Amino acid sequence: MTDGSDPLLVAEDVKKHFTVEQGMLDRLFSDSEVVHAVDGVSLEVATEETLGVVGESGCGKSTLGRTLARLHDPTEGVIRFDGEDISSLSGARLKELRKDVQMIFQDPLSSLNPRKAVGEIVGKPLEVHDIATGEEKTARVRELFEEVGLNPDTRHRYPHEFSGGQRQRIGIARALAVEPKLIIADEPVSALDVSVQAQIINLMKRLQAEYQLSYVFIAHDLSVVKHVSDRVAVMYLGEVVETGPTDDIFERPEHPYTRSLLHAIPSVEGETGRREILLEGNPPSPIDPPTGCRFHTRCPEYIDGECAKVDPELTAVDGADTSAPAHRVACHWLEHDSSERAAQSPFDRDERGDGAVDTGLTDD
Amino acid sequence: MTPRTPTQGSTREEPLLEVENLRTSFPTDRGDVTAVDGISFGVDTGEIFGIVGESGSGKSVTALSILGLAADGEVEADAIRFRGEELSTREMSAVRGGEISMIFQDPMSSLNPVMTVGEQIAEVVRHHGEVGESTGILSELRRKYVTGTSDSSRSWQRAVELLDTVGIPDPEQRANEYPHQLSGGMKQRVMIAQALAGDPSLIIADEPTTALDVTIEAQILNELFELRDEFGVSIVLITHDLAVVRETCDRVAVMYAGELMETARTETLFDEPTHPYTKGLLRSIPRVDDDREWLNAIDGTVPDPFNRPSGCPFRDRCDAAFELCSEPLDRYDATGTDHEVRCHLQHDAVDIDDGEPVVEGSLHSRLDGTETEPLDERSGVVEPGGERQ
Ligand code: SF4
Ligand code: SF4
Repeated sequence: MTDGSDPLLVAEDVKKHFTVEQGMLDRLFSDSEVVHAVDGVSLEVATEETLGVVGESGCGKSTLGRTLARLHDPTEGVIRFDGEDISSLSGARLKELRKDVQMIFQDPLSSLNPRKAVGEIVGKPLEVHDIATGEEKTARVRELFEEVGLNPDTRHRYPHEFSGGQRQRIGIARALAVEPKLIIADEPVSALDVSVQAQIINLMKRLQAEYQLSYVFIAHDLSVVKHVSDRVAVMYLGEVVETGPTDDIFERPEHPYTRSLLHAIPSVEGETGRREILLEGNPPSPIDPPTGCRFHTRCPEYIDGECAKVDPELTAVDGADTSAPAHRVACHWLEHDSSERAAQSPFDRDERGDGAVDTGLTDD
Repeated sequence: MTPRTPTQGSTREEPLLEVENLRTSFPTDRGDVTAVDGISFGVDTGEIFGIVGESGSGKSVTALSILGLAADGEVEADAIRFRGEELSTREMSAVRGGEISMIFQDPMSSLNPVMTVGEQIAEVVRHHGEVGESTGILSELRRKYVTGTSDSSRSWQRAVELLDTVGIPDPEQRANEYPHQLSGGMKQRVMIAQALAGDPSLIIADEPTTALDVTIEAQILNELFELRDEFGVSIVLITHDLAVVRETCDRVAVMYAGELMETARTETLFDEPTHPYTKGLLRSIPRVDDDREWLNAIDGTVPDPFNRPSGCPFRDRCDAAFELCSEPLDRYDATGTDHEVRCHLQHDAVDIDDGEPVVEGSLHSRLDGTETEPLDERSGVVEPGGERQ
């Protein structure tokens, strides 16, 4: 949690653009196209804190994760880890960073070498970073297996011999081997069955407390993100549109996109029946993002004359302090009177008085 | 629940689709694997019936088996009835695409990448509908590779109409596009349109929204509702997502390791889950409105298909397991009631005393005259009653 000390990870206006691979003809006849995958993201993560990053597929959350982990070079912006600018590290110093920052992926199978025994996979980072070799390494690998709930005697088997949940445990053990300070987890449970999801989420939480880990937890499942995160950043088309403490985001969402997402969550509780759709269509292409507010082409609370013209800045909501971890939103409605907004918002404010968006379902 | 009540005692109207004791196994190098192990269910007209299960539970194989699509699978059933008529699996494949059609998780697996979407839908229309257009091989080939289906033909118009029905904007224009030009949600809609082209009365949808974002998912599920409401289509929705089931299905069957554990009306299943597995699943899901520090995970993993425990397949993971659980569950075969629970705790001779299941008298001998296997020596058989929180 935030304890007043400097945050572990700080990103300032980080951008990651890709040039689209094009066929010969396209290259001859048109300018190359640029995907604005991450387009000016600022965030911070404190020690032992979990920052959840949510958004639809294609919003840039995975690219952001990889850029923060320095698997990608940022196109622009500054990333600071433990006070040090890591935006352009390379060679030995980048390798050094890998001891502190690790990643866990959605599909452990594709990130585990199929021809290596899982014990070797988990032990590899120990060698690479000169942490342990020989006997010592074996002992440490056994320990790591136990730590993540795997039988150490299974370490001679190959990845395909394990279930999805066990493979994710292997991925976690590998990440843990170097005793990192920060783990960036990209959809770590979304490929797992529900009963196994809960096991892995509990494991990650236990390890966090034990090793004082910080997590950037990237996921599209809002209920999972709500459960694991201290703070949340909501991404849309390469930008953070709303961020703040988890409770603020889920109980007092301000951005129309966050509200739409919360509205669309199916639930195992509450009323059944069809969900009211407030968000039609698909996100536009990150190659040529819309002008003004990027969400304006789908926004259920669109303001004529403002939204398509001016890009709203992330601004602290009323009552929140202006520090970076506070509740901040990028939407023009923040410049308007709240009663004016309520009058035309399609989101039913319920009567509980806490202003929570009614994520219940409409009768139909 | 009484043992061995014949299915004939069904309390419901005659279902549109009725499956009795379906078993599917696959031969492998290491021996036969039973993917579906004696399941029975019925789907009513205009009903959305959910089959929910984790990976490897056999839920997809169930769909494929019914449609005669389980390649190399050994499919047996006491009966599969459609509109009350018994069909062999061969006959089932004949109604496939027409009366019964299927929607898959990955649209690309059933869409042809080199044909426009309109063309693909029109093809199904011609084969199953009465539009008076030639469906001979030559005319199809000519359409496919030379002329394309004429814009003014009835089948093309119907294709455009269907694209419109499933909520695709500018259907005339979209009909001329290829699958790769469409987003995931759009492709899923195209597949639904294609499934509709044969004018089906039953659609089997296997994880139709799993690959989609929550907002697109809501749109697609609403399309399924529309189909039911407007055309009276019955839908079997196969999914791992309990929340999707909750908001979409009228009735639902929970599948585990090839067997149906609990079948109930959706409200019943969610409000009064009875089977320990169903309870465990519902407790393991994080919810936006809960404040639990720890989730109640179900420990362990699904049984190895090559090494299934005898008796209840869930018993290695079940908090409530007791001596009877090494007995097969088949004595709880479909009772035809609204709420079927295949669990030994439901047996008439089992009483719960102070949270502990107590088996009355000489139950084992009464069950089938055999001795029970010795009590399973699992670690962690704690707190029978399953209320570990
Ligand atoms: S700025 Fe305008 S378009 Fe953007 S989210 Fe706010 S209301 Fe919607
Ligand atoms: S109590 Fe026995 S029969 Fe019921 S689910 Fe548990 S193990 Fe299976």
